[in-house]
Amino acid sequence: MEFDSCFDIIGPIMVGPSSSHTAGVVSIGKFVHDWLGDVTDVTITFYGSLASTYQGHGSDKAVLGGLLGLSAHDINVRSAYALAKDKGLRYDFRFCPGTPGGCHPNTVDLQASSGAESVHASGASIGGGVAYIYEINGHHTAINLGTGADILSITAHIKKEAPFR
Amino acid sequence: MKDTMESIVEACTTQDISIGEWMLRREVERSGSSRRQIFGRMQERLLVMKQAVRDGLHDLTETESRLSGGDAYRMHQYSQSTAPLSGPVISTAMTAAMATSESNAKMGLIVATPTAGSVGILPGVLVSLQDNRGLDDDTLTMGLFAASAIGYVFANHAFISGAAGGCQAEIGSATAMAAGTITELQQGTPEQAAHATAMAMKSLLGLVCDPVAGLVEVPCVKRNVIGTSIAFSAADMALAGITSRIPCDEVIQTMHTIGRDMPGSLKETAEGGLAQTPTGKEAARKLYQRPCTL
Repeated sequence: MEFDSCFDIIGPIMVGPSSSHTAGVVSIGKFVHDWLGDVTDVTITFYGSLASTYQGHGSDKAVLGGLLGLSAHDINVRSAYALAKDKGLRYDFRFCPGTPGGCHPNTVDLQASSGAESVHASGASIGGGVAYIYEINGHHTAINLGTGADILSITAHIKKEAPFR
Repeated sequence: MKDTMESIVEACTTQDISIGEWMLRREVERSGSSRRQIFGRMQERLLVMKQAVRDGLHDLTETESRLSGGDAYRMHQYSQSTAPLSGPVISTAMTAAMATSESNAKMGLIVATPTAGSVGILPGVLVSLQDNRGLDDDTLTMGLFAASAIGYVFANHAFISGAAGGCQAEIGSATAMAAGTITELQQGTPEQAAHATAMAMKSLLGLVCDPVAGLVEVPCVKRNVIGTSIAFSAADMALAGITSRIPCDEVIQTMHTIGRDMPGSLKETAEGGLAQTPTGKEAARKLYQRPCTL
């Protein structure tokens, strides 16, 4: 069953306004943060519904907040632009109204670097605060970032496995 | 086999327990965590809900889109200065639901119940029961377990997102959850709670998801507010001994069928309904012409 826990129904605790356009997007950004450590440069591409409605949903703040290491329930997501400035995170937003072939309409593509290391990751926020990472450095994958997922442990685990070792 | 409202009511009646207690025991069993831990996690959610209400009540600011904001304050002032037509129980719930939905629209910290779009209804009715009927936090926390049991049946037999099933799946599910919860918290039987759930859901069947500019603001915020009064009406009928002539599980199944048949333009795409009114289209045009906040 997709919904099994009482906390799948009453939850997640999150910064509004949308579980699919805000909470899940934070998790995709945080995945890249936890993969690299402190991110210094990033190119963010929003596709589909995220490209057309990101302003009203705060999806831009959500992805930046995640890239800065914040979680979906951290109220500082709201101040992500100020935090990015403080931390010297250089970002470039791109918006593509269509969706890449066969991809979910809420897709985010992140090309990020920490100076020492870089990563290219694509993911989708599929609703209810749940996100998926489906491509890392050109390799297809299907990593579930559920509500309350320990993203740092997930990235540490994946980096130990082929082909990312 | 998936649990149904009928199977849950039967289990509760046999064991002489509430729906909330049934869900709490189920979670202990499935998770392996202790009763105390699970109760604590749920109570944490209640406290976040109450804080979102407090934050929203005195906040006069508008959202970034300027489509909502400040109405919880207006409703609060009105209900403090006069006797609202809908009485203290419903007007308090309306105000708290509005405060929560406005907090959500402004990127405040909220609890999805079951989604962010339907975030105001449960906190609205719970805060009102606390303020007007003196229910304590532990009682309200048990109410959240009851709400989650009802939502769990909806989620597994129908939908709980507007994109999947229209607004009937979001505001409809949340209102139905609230109606059953109120009934249980007012000492109704599990069977009465199921009737309240069914009666609330029946009144919202077919409701489409048509958000202006695709945002969780118009008409979402006010549908949350009005959802509270439907929940209280349904609960009052159930507590009076009135039953739903269509059993709850059949109503839930109907919501699923209607949602499946609903066109995509009315399922959170902003391609139909209020989103496509002249005013709705103009709001979207203005919003997306503004430079982004880089």
